[in-house]
Amino acid sequence: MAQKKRPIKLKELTAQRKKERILQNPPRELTGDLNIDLSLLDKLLHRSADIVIREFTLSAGEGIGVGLVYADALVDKQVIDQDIMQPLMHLARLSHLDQILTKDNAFQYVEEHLLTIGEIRITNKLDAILGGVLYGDTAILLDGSSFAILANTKGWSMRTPSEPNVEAVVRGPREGFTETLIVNLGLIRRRLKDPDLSVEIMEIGKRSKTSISLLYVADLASPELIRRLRQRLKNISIDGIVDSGYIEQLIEDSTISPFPQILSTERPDKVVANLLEGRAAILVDGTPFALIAPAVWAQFFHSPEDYYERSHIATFIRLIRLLAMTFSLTLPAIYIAFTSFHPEMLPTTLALAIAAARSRVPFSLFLETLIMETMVEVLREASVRLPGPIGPTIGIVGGLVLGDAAVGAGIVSPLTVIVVAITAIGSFASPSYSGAISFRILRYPLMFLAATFGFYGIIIGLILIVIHVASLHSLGVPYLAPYAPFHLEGQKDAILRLPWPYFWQRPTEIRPQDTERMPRPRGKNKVGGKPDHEGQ
Amino acid sequence: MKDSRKNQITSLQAAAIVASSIIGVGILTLPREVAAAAGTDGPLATLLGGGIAALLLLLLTKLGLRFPRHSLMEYSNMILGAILGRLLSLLFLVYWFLLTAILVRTFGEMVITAILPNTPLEIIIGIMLLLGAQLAAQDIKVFARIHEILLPLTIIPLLFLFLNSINAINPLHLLPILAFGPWPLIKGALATGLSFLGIESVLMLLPYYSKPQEAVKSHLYGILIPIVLYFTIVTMGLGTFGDTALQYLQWPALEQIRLAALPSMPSVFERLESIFIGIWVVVLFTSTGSLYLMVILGIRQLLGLKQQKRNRFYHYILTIPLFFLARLPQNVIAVETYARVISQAGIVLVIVGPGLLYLMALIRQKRGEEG
Amino acid sequence: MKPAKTLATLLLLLLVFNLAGCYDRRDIERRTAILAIGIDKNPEDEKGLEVTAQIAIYHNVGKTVGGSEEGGEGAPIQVTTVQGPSIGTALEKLAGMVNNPIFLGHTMLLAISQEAAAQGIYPLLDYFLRNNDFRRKSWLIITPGSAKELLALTSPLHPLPPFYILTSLESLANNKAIPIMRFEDFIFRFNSPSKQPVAVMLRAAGDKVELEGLAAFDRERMVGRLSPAELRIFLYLSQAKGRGLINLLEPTSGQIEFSYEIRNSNRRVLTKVEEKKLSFVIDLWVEGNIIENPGQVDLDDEAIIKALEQRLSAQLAGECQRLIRKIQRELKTDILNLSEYVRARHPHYYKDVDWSEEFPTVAIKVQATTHIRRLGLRRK
Repeated sequence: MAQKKRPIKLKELTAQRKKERILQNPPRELTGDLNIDLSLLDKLLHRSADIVIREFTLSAGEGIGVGLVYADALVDKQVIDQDIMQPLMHLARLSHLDQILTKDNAFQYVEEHLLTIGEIRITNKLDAILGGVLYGDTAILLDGSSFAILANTKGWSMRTPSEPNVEAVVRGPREGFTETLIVNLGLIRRRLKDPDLSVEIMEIGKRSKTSISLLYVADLASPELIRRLRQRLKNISIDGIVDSGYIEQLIEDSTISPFPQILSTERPDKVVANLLEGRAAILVDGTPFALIAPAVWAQFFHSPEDYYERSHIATFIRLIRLLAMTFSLTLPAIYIAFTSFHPEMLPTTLALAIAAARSRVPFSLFLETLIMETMVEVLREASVRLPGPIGPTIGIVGGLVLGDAAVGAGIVSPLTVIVVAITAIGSFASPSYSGAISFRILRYPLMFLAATFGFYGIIIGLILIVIHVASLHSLGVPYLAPYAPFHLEGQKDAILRLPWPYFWQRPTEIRPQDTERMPRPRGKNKVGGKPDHEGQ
Repeated sequence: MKDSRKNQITSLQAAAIVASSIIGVGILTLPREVAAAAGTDGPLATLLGGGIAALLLLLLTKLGLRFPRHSLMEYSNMILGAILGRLLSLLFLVYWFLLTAILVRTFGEMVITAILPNTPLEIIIGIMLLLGAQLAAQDIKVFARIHEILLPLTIIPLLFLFLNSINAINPLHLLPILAFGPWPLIKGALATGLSFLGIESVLMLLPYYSKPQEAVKSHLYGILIPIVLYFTIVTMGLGTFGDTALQYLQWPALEQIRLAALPSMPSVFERLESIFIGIWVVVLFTSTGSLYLMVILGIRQLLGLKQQKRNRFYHYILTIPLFFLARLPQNVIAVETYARVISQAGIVLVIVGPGLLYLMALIRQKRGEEG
Repeated sequence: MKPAKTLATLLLLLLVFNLAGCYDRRDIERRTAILAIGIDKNPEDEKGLEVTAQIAIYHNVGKTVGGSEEGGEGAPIQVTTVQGPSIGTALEKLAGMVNNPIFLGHTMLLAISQEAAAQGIYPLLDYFLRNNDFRRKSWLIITPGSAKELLALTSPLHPLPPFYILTSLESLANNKAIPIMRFEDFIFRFNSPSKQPVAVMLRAAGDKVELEGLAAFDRERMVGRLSPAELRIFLYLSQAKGRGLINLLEPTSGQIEFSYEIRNSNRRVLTKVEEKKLSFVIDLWVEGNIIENPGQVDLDDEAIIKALEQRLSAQLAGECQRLIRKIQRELKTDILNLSEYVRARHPHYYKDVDWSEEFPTVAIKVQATTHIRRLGLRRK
């Protein structure tokens, strides 16, 4: 037990000090000391878990150390095994190179005689090495040499990332996340070859031991945000995580709210765009849905496509979406309020047409609308659950046939069918499924309120919703930012979507460490610098 | 505890709170009251009244800035001593309390007359009080955010609705200007003064500002919004109806909206007043919420209660006395009389109270610690 | 747990609402929509009123509006007449005769007989003024016959009779042939001391309506009528930018020489107070085209056009002067709203004099300027 403390040898101590010194202040080039170089690379890659660092000894010569550095997700392991490991560990000995190889010539010999890889590059720049490794190359470092060989080992095998079917876009990447964490990490790495992209892996779930990775760009994301997020993840104590939905609900600020405070997406491009804004992403092994935090309400009617299309059309479409979402929230309530409480608001001819159509309907307007709304929800649920090709058919059959028959039988008035249909279509126009759900749910209380107090009731409902939404936070970021607290610079990407040259600033409400994503335009030297934020 | 006050309200939010605390019942009746007092000098009188209110707001701000980390209830004690200070605080508290009740009642009267004739007054009043309590029960910063988001959502449509009837204006109705000397103008300015009440909310909220040094600027921006809105409403009302016909109308603003159809789409919304009432509910909600918060903060600070995050149940209990108080007046005319008496008392209080405090603070050289 | 509280409040409120019931909820088809109201004097009772209402029958309306396939074959409206001492009591009586509560939110027309209007119109309007549902944009018309007769009229031109009258009125107003005098306009004129109300007069003629002119009021009492021809002149003199025809007669034969159509008119009112005496000059300016030239007047010369313009101006000024004389001498009510100018421009004078006594004797001069702009497709 009581081990005797061995005095540290002076040589070891100096090596240790030297290493520490170098790590403290990383140089731009390799040092030539394998141990130090590997540590250096490890540090620069933020000890990310998908980076493999392999150390072994060249099988011939005077015990020369070799280090391999590669990104696990991006390389073809067979190439590494057969064309790098095998020659260096095995063939070297078989070729009787013992006498020839020394620390001085090993590098050249390995390069010229041993590696059976087509494309190699030689460099001593750390930047180039990192870039290569993050793009699927394998860096081969030899002890005593201040150069590294970058061997092309690119090749990632994964389930062909299929097109995301929840968040479809017209223009934009067609790739969606798969169920494999490491593949998903690859999808992100491939788009963001930034060594500062930090991937923290942790295991959550006492029994499931699910791998969860927290991604952020280390010199962008606010340290406070990352600390908070990490803390919340660590606080999770549960037997198993099956989907990212578990994590979402376990870490969000208010679980009772109908509004999601964490964005979920199956699009790697969306994740990368958000990482670049200084947000953090959480990838969960076993699910194609990544989480993005912090999220603000505005993001739930933004689609990644908005940023790829021309700004005019993107702005227009955002307005349309907003309109559609407003419809899906309020239209049935407004319909009830107008026809049951304030018919004088309607144009006379329309009022007469509605009254004429309703004169034979047995139910009260409220009940009629309620029944129809519920039927549409039932139809939607049924068409989601039904297998493949039948689903849409049922939707059409149910919608058209039932609706037409109901109108024909005089149970439902045609205008109700129209209103309900517009409502249903409106709720599909939201690019975020979870964002649309909150509106679908809140529609019902609003309908009740409208049926009790007419227009006044709707306003009461909307006020309550505003109070609630304004009180929400997503990891300390006000949910209604950049509207409240208002931030002028943020309005460029809120309802409006200005052209890219205007987006020189990152959204400041999430407090990125570096607020500028492109050089400041001239004449923009003082405004927009320090936004007036509420205290935390 | 002092530190928890800092950094709650941004400058923009401060402006929004000032604006939406001021704008309330006034927009309904203002044209009639101004026309009765000032005749065709109404628009000018509104501007004058707004100017006076802005000056008064400046005084309140100056007073508050002498004690950047304290509210009225606290520095009145520091300036006037425990007894007199408490008395003044109590006066303010009673005034806010009564004003909340009468505000809610006026609201109820209009809702019943205009849109829900058969719904009991009690229910409408009760809901409004609960909504106000709900707003006041939020964190100060959430409270500020709600004001910030609701203000543009109400002011822009309101201005739009009123400017919509610009075609109906007969320029002759706006003449003569200043024909009978300055007296009608002054009377009119005094009449608008009632509609500018609400500026005293800054007395309680100033310690929560994240940048008190910008308070003067944001308050002036804040009061500019109601001045512009009131000026528009009065000009439009006068221009449409003429000063005499205006006085026959119970709620001129409502009548004005009734006349206006959107010229571009007359058949879509035949009558816009439901939209107007909808917006007006929101406007009244924000000012009720503000007043309610004043009462809550006032009681808390007067009794020296600690701010408790957990249990805010007592916020809702206050609705009960307010509810019964609001039910007291027998009819519309009585409501209006009470409202006039209370707001006239309010004007006196808001001018005399802070004026006295400021003078005394200058004389006794009292000053709060810097933030 | 703030959101929890919010949600709890929401639920509690919902519960309260449902327990409280829905006091004002009444579906649109459960309201008896009255599309038009006519008011006559009760022929049997000196003090009583006779109120006629056009009630929409919804299941028959279907075919006439909105293109619905449904709809019965019967008449889309029912005309019901009730009697009572006041509007309120009459409508209450009506409410007892129909199966749903009366709803005035879609009343488009308020027709009042000349007889009833001559006795004082305000008591007939007060009910509607206080009523929240009644729309301010309904047309107020006076009919020389009985309002009952007007409302009973059916026209093949529109399946819904009230719409026939309404669209006729709107088309006339669009052509600037009548002033836009709806309920609201009437009331504001009535309530302004410096104005006098007027109302459009319509007469039922078989299955058509005919423009009868303009009813002139002195406050609440109808005091006289302008004929349709005088109504045109009235429109030029008021701010309505009226349009209309002027026929220039050959001085000797009395044949129509040519017709000139006023497309646009404008007028300026100049006021002057000299030695405590007020005088008006109305500066009328019109432009328009020649639309008919049966007298084959040679138009191919600028000088001739100028001469014609002068003749037109003189004739127009004369007609205006005649109308003003009629208004001042016969009607003695300031329906041109001239006192509005006095109030605005000479407030002290206005304060000192009693305008209603002053008006019939005040000097009003009309100057007219006419412009012939176009001749149509013929040169001569």
